[in-house]
Amino acid sequence: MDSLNGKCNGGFLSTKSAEFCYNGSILGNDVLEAGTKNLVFLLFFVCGLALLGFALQQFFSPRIVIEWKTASELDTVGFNILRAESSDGTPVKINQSLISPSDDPLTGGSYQYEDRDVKVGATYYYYLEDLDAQGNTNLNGPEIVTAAPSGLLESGLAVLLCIVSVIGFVRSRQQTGERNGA
Amino acid sequence: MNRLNNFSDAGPEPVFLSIGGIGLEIRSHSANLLKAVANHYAAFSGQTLDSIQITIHWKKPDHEVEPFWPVVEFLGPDILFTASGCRGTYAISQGTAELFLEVQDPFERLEYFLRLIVGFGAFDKGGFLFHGAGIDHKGHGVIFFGPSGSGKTTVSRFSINDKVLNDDLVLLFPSETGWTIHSTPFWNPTQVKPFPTSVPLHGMFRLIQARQVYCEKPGKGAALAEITSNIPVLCTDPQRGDELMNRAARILEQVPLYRLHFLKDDTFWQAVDATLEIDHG
Repeated sequence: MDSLNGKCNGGFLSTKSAEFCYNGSILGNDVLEAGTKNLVFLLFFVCGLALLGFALQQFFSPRIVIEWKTASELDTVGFNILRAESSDGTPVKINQSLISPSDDPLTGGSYQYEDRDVKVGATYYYYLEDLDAQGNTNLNGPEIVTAAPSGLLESGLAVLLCIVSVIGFVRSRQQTGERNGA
Repeated sequence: MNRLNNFSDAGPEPVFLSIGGIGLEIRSHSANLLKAVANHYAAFSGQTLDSIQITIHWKKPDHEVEPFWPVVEFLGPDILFTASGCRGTYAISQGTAELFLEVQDPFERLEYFLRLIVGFGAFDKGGFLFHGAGIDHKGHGVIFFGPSGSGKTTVSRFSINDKVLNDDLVLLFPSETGWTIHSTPFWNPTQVKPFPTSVPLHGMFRLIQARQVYCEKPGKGAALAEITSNIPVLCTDPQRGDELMNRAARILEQVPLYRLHFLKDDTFWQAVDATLEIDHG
């Protein structure tokens, strides 16, 4: 305590010295000096903004992922995904080009298709169409999916992170001002 | 034989495979099936002087097929293979086989039939098919074995600097200096893709999942049982049982067998290297 004389000398301080310098630290770890602390708050804030951006993008651009597997594709030349908006609606092809078959027709493959043209809360009827070498088609489905909102949890976390970092930054500035005033 | 010859004239070009020196000449009316077979087993394509001729008849069913449950019967010198949606025969003395498939997805049944043929073909050539992962560890052939789920694929995945001959089925043949492991092409996408090669066998390790890594040597009787119980199908054949026991005993005279207690990481290689005195210098 004697060596500090009521001022922060920078660098890593002992626990006791830190308590002396940064009373009421929001981090609960009293080893950072004011500049470093502000930098951490800024970093938190930036992370919060990035997370918020990601979450908002998720929220405003919902998607439905369609997955399927095949056991073999000996005659298959490709797949199409069709979508209808009601159980008796006409299915419409939504993939732009034919989805290529597996590299190993004997064992088949695993596939994923992302439908980004969906509205939150809407229900869709998906069909998988496989085409064989003779030009025959086979329609599988439908799989009924309702587009759920996404990104809500991430948005909440992001906002919380931003608020905490702003409060922390403001308090840190106040404490620095008080110390300088004293 | 006549039917086979007539059939071969009419059908598309056959696929030739060479698996540990065992030649397979596969024919079918279905060009798509042959193309897929050629593609899947491409790393093992090759012709040998005395190929086993296999004819596959495949048609799609108009009904649901029960799950695959294979039954193998020994009819004198011949083999009969039956399962839901398929029936196969292998006339060993004639070197011909025929498989009738009526399933939507023929892979599982077709591969089982090919395994059978290769297993009996290997026995006729003095070796046998073994249920284990074969790894070329810097020129040293090592086999890890045990029942399904014991960790064969796991240890293969932790052998990133080595060649995995196959993580489930390998061929073992006697050689001038001992025994040699040969890779087989039998795999599915959940396994490690086999690397077609052969390597002298230096050690066999029965896998036991544990909390500590160490090797222990089992008694001779237990070791013999470990080997014979991991020779698929043939171990149940009454005509070949005695000879199979002789071969298992012979391999134990020439190749050390241990129980490997291992963790799910690559630390087992240190124990294997130390046990087999493999020097990486």
